[in-house]
Amino acid sequence: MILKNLINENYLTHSFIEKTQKEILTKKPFPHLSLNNFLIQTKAEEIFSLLNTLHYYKQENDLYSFYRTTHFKYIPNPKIQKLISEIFNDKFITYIEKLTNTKLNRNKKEIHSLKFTKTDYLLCHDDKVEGRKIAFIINLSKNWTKHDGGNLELFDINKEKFPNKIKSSIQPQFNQFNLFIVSDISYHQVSEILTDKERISLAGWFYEK
Amino acid sequence: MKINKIYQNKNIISEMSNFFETENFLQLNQFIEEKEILPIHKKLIKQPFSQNFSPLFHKKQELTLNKITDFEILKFIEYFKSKTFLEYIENITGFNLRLKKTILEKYSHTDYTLLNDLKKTSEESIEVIFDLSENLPQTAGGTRIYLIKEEEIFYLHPTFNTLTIIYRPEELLSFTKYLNCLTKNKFILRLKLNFEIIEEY
Repeated sequence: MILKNLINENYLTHSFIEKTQKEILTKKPFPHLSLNNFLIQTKAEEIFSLLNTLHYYKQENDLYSFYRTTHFKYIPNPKIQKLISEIFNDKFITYIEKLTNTKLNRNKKEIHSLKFTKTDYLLCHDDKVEGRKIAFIINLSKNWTKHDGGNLELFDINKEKFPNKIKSSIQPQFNQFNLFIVSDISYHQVSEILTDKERISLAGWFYEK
Repeated sequence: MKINKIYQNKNIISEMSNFFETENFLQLNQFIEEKEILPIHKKLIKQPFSQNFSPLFHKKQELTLNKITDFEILKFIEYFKSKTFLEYIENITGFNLRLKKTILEKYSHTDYTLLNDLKKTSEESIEVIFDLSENLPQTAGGTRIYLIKEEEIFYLHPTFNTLTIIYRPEELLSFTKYLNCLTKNKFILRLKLNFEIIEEY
């Protein structure tokens, strides 16, 4: 699939890509990007419907409480495999590389879906795992309001390089694409869900070359 | 401080000691006589607890003990720091102990503690928690969970006027589960004492 059949064309222009390349590394508290209406609307709806057919497993420990699917590469469902090849293909990864000034591994990516329901949360962590370069989230939560919680919150660091205060708070929107460069300071959390609605997303990581 | 008479009976103390020896854990409900603890609780909740937020480790509130001026609260804390109480805990645990740390802490909605690899490992010790929490539904979080090598050993759900004694080997870890919105305006309030083990009787 060519990118213009997948991604909102406003995000494919040279001027947008150039501007993002320049700005992303200086973004505070650490390099990140949040693009609303990212996918072609029909594609976002199609993914949303597909995710609602999957099985989610409750995951809970000191750090988090949410529901997660198996990594997509282990789900034999042909629709899921088609989704991976349509979205997370070479062209898409090249596009992400351009936006973020990074070089990514074409063969190593992790993709799954997360579902947060009322009282679920994900507390502060950095996502750092050997080789991880880009973390991304395609939000597919419908009719979300600022009272519903579930914000992606980014922390700045103190002089000891520990997370300090929330400096950016991104409210989920249907068809919103968020990414950040994974590093020693990419501290973030998902605030508690305060509504009976579900915060559903497609999320994962790209690895460095 | 008037401890529930049952817990001062020599035979009961001996039974408690045997239980602790096998379980490494003991919980004494209605530990202090109600007419004594209720007024202290009322005063304690009005104290100016200060926020202690270190995102990778905890979000909670603590009361600086040396800033307390209320006589009854001071008397209450002094009891738990007294020689009488130390000997009581020594009788139950069978260890000679030295009080190392006393913390008065409070957890409200959005508060938590995390297990963290960066935390220094603690030495073998005895932990004593006196709980003054308002009763929370279990679904609200706030349970203190103890584990060894990812295996959950026991759970301490906040219960008002309850004393819990825990043997902490070096490898025992613990955390307080995030308090979610079902907490509403309630909170966990507890006095936490950590005793160094000097020697076994």
